Amino acid sequence: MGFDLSDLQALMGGSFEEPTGESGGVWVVSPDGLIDDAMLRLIGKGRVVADALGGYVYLLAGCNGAGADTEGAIRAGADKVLTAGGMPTVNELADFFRERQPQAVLLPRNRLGKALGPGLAQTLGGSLCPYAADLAVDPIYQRIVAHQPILDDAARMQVILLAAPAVAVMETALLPAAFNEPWRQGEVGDTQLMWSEPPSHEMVDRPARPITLKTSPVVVVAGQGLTDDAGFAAAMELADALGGVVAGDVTALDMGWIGEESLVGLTGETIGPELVIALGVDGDTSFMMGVAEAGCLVAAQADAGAPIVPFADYNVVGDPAEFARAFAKAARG
Amino acid sequence: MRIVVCMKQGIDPKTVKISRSREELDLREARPQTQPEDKHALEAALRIREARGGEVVAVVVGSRSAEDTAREAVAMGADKAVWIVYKGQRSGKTMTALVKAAVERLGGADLVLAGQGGDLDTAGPLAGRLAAALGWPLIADALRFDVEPAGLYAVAAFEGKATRLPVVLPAVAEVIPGAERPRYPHPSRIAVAWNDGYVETWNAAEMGLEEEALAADAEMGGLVLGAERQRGQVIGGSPEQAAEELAGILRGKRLL
Ligand SMILES: Cc1cc2nc3c(=O)[nH]c(=O)nc-3n(C[C@H](O)[C@H](O)[C@H](O)COP(=O)(O)OP(=O)(O)OC[C@H]3O[C@@H](n4cnc5c(N)ncnc54)[C@H](O)[C@@H]3O)c2cc1C
Ligand SMILES: Nc1ncnc2c1ncn2[C@@H]1O[C@H](COP(=O)(O)O)[C@@H](O)[C@H]1O
Repeated sequence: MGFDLSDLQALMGGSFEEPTGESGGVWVVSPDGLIDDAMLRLIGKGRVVADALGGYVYLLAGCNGAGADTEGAIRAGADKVLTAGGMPTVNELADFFRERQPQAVLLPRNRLGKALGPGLAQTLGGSLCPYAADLAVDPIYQRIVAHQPILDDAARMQVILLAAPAVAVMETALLPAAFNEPWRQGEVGDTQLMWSEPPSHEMVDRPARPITLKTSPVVVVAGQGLTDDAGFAAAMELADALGGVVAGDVTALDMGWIGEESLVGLTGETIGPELVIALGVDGDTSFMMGVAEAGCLVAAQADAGAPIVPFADYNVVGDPAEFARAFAKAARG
Repeated sequence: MRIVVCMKQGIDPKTVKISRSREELDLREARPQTQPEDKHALEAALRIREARGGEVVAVVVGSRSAEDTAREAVAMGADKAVWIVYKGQRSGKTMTALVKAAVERLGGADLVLAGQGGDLDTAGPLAGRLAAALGWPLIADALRFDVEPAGLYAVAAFEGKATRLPVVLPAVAEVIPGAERPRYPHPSRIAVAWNDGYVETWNAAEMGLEEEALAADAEMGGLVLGAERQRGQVIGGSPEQAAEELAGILRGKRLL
């Protein structure tokens, strides 16, 4: 006797049966309806948790699911995708969930998720992990356990979420790649709900913190590999996105990009910020002495054999200016 | 106008080590410190008071050494501090119940400020829960407050920039470090901060809180250890892919 495909699909949660009253289950919420790769990863984590609990995965998408890749959501593990109009407030979301009694509610750790998660847990009398890198279900008690990064993610503290619903605001970038399983089936429906319109905002410049090379937690160091002024402009853009300052090595000083006060290395300043991003810097010894105390060193430059590579925590081998622009965008995201 | 600032005595993360052999935190040299982010919240409160008068009260939940944080708040300029002595597990639910009860016992507040929490915190940001518990609006990521003839405005971080919004009181705000540096305690205030009358010591029973209301909603389990610091890693893919992956790693390390 063997399994055929439909048995396997059923076993993997591929076939969908509406549970009575839509109660229980793992709910993934996209308040603004966006279903991007981050949301798909979150759905995947929801799938893993729901499989361990023996329940369904629901995706609740606001803004009428505008921009929502519902097919993608189903391939990533959602059994049912529900849309609603507008963006929910804490109370609207709590009203929605009150009767459905979810076992878990997963929100992405972005502006909206951070604003809704704590209030939702409080209003529903649930439990909360405000910053989760992972979720697991303990096999004996079937309790949901969040893994919260501590000490710069050097370790993760297990937080056992005792009260239902377990609300987890999750750092999606730390989750494994999304599932993409074309055989999965799911339903798409609409809640007929019309939540509040997202408020409009008067935008102003973000007040800058007075920071110097010595006090800035983030320093972007420019080097020769940026090649021209446009490359250096990318370094400045990145520093701006990270809320840090720009410095340089000797070659940047020679190029006239920086002044002497921003020179890092043996002849210049010795710095120990939390994060140094070296762009187009080879990393000879006299430079490395200037950044030896950095909490984390990221190097982006073209040569896989450059001296900086074994010293840097993370390397990106390629055009540093191109990376800087992409990273500025990702950091702002 | 009464502004309540929730201040916590946390642990200086630099004094905490990870014991890999025992798979637990090594806290033998752990030093308590007033959570630096919370001093930004106090600074914001003091500036509002300077512009429009009123009273700033720091609320500190903790036992024994947490009194230092209460005194420090007074030294920085708080009119008084309430030190809630609580020895049980401090889950987010517990903290919310205690601070809400304190606000009520103070006779209410117009604005409650809290910080965003440090690196070793599992109780979680209090502001969101507190806003829900009090039924007040939440201002997230507040960088600064402006007192204007038309009323109080908040400048809050918003998608890489900032947004300015009128504050409808009473409200709860989560304060993140903005342009204004927290002031140093004035020497004359340091001298009086330990005098009688500046720090009130309360406990849960006095505030009428039953055990049920304080029961923890979450419990700490063991540690899951990550890899040791490894140098020389190369992140592949297109610049965009590498940038996304790196942003994720650095967010996990709270470096972004
Ligand atoms: C990873 C981690 C995260 C934590 N997060 C929080 C949190 O978010 N909120 C919270 O209130 N508590 C937290 N704690 C626990 C907190 O540090 C205290 O140990 C706990 O609250 C018991 O305090 P107490 O008032 O009974 O101890 P007391 O003996 O009164 O402690 C006095 C002070 O000594 C220090 N201290 C004593 N024991 C410890 C210990 N085991 N670990 C660290 N410092 C200690 C603390 O700074 C404490 O404030 C956390 C502990 C760890 C290990
Ligand atoms: N023991 C405490 N006493 C007073 N306020 C606290 C306490 N714990 C947390 N808070 C407030 O809640 C915020 C976030 O908490 P946490 O994530 O636990 O650091 C802090 O910045 C404080 O404003």
